[in-house]
Amino acid sequence: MLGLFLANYAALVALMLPFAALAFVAVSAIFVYNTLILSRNRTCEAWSGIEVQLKRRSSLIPNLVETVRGYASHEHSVFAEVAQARGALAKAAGPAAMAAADQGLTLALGRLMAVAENYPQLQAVATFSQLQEDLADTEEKVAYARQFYNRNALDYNTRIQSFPGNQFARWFHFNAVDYYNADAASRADVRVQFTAV
Amino acid sequence: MSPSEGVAGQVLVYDRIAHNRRKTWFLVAFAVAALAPFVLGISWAVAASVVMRLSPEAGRARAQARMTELILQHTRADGRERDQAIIDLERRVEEQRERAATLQRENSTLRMKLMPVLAAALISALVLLFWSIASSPTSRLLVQAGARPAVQAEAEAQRVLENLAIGAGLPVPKLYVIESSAPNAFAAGMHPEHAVVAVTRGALGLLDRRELEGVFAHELSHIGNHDIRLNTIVATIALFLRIPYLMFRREMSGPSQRSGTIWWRLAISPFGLYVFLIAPLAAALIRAAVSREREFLADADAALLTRYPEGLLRALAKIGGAGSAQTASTAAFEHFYFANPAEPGRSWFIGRMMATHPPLADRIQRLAGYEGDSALAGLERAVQDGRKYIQDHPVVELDQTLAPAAGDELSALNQGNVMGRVYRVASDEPVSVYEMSNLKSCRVATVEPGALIVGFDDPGPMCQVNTADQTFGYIPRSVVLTPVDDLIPAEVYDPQLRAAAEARLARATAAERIPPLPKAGLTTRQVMIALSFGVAVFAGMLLLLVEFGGR
Repeated sequence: MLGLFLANYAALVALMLPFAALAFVAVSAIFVYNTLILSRNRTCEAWSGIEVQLKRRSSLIPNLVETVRGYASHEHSVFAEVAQARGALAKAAGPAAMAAADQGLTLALGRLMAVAENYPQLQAVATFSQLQEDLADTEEKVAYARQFYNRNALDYNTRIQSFPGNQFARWFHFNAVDYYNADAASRADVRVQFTAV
Repeated sequence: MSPSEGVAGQVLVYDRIAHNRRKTWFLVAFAVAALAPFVLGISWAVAASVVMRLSPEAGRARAQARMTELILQHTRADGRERDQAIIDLERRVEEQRERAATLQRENSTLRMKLMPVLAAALISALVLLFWSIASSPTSRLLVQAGARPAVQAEAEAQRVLENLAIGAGLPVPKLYVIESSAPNAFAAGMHPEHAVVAVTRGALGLLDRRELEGVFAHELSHIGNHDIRLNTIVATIALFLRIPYLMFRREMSGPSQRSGTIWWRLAISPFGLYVFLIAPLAAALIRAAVSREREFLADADAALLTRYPEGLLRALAKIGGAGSAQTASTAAFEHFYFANPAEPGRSWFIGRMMATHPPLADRIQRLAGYEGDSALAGLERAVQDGRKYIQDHPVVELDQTLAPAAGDELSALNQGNVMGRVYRVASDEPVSVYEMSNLKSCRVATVEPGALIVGFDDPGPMCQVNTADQTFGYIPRSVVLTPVDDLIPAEVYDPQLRAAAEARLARATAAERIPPLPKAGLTTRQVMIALSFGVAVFAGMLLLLVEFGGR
C-alpha cells in the first residue's frame, strides 16, 4: 500500500521531504527552547528561595542584637559590625555578591555569639536560646536553599553550554548564571559555634 | 575527608544514579514485554473457547469426517474389492474433510478478529486496576499503618523534613508518626504535592538528627523521583500477571475439589504454564527488582541531598541492629517502606530475589563506596546502639484481628476501607444523622454543612458515617460528600488536631487560589476514562455486530 503510494507519488514525496525535515527541525527547536526557558525559570525560582531564607535570617538579627545589648551594652563595635554586615547583605545583588555579603554577616554573627558566650546570664534567657535555635535552623535552610539553587544552576549552565542548547543560548541571550558559593573555611567556623547549642 | 576524596565520591554517586535509572527502565520494559504474551495467550484462549461455543459445526464436521474415514478403513480391511460403495465412501470423506477445513478456516479468521477486541478489553482492565489502586487514598494506607499526624512534640523532626524539602525543591510533605518501636519510615502519595512521610516512634527515638536527616532525605528522594507512582505501576502489572495464579492458589486451598480439577487441566498446557507459572514468577521478581533498584537510587540521592552519607549509613546500621519488621504492613504496600517491613526469608531465592528491599549490608556497602572505607569505622557501635534500643523498647505485637488482612495482594484490594474515610459535607443545609438505616428512625445528630465526617464504604440504602464527636449513624445517599484525602479519621475525632487540620486546609486553598470545584459531577479524568472505556466497548460491539450481524 505504502510502496504503491511511494511509486506513484515519488516526485511529490521528493518535494515534501525537505519540508518534513524543516518541520522536524522546527519542532525540535521549539522543544529545546522551551526546555531552556523551563530550566532558567527553575533557576530563578531557586534563587528566590535563597533570598527568602536570607531575608528571614536578616529579620531575626535585630531581635538577637537587642537581646544581647540588654546584657552587654558596651560591646558597641560588635553591634556596629553586625548592623553593617546586615546592611551590606540588603544592598548586595547577584549570587556572587550576595554569597560574599552573607559570609560577612555570618562572620559578624559568629563574633556576636562569641561575645554572648562571655555572659552566662544571657545563656539562661529563654528568648535568647530560642533566637539562637531559630538562627541555627535558618542557617540550615539557607544551606539547603543554596544547594537547590546550585543544582538548578548547574543544570541550566550545562544545558546552555552543550549542543544544541549553546546555539540557542547565543541567539536568545541565555547567559550562564553564577553559583552561590560561600568560602568553606567560614562555614566550618560557624558550625562549631552552633553545634554547642 | 579531603576535598579530592569528596569529588571522587560524588562522581561515583552520579554514576550510580545514572546506572540505577537505566536498570529501572530495562526492568520496566521487561515487565511490559512479559505482559504481551500474557495478554495474547489469555485473549487467544478466551477467543478459542468463544468460537468453539458459537460455531461448534467445525468440530462436529471434523468428527464426522473422521468417523466416515474409520468406516472406510474397516471396509477396506475386510478385503473387499474396490466397488461403488467404497468409491462413494471415499468421495464422502473428501467432501466432509473439505467442509471441516472450510469451517476451520472461518473459525480461525473469526478468532483472529475476536482476539484484538479481547486484548483491548484486558488492557483496559489493567488500566482500571491501576486506576483503582492509584486512586486509593493515601489516608487509607496511613490508617492501615496506624499513623497519626505529627504534633508539637515532633517539631524537631518536622523542621528537619522542612529544611530537606527546601534542598530537594519539593513542597513540604506532611509528617505522620506510627506508634511502633521498630524503626522504619515510608513515603506515600502519587504526586509530590500530596505526598506524606510517616516515621515510626522507634525511628524518632533511636536516630539522632543527622541520621533522621538521612532517612528523610531517602524518603524525599522517593517522592522527588516519583518512585511511588512507578512502583504502583509496576506492582499493578505484577498483580495483573499474578491474578490467575492467585485465584488458582485460592482455589487449591479452598474446600471445593470439583472446580480444582478444571484449574489443574487449565494449568497443564504450554499456555497454562506461562499464565500460571512463568508470568507470575517473572512478575514478582521484576516487581521486587524494581523496588530494590529504587531503594538504591533513593539512598544515592539522599547522599547527594544531605552531602553527608555518614548520617544515612549510621541510620541503616542502627536499623539493622534493631530490626525493621512492622506488624501493620501488607504485602501490597511493602515497597513503600524505608527498610523491609517484613521478616526477610531465610533462603537465597526468597530472601534476595523476592525481597522488595536489598539487604541493609548491601545498602551500607554501596553508600560507603561514595565515602571511602573510613565511613565504616563507627558502624559497629551504631549496630550495638540499635540492638540495645530494641531490647529496651521491645516491639509490641499487634493483635492479629486488628492488623490489616495478611495474605496476598488481592486481599489488600478488596478489603475496602475498614477504618473509614474523611469526607466534607457539601450540602447547603444541615444533615440529619439517623440511628438506623431508615428515614423513620430516630435522629441522633445533626451535621452542619461543611463539617468533616468519617464515612464507610459498606453497601446499604443509607451511608454509614461517624460524626466528629464519634456518633455513629446513617445519612441518606443523596447527601453530597467530598472526600478529603489527606486527612485521616483520627484527625477528625480529636478537636485539637481537627482545628489544626482545618487551618492547614484553609491555608492550602488560599495559597492555591483555585476556583472551587463543582460540588457534584465527575472530574475531567473520570470523564476521560469513562469516555475511552465507552469507545473501546462501542468498538468491540461494532466489531462483533459486523461479524455476527448477518448470521
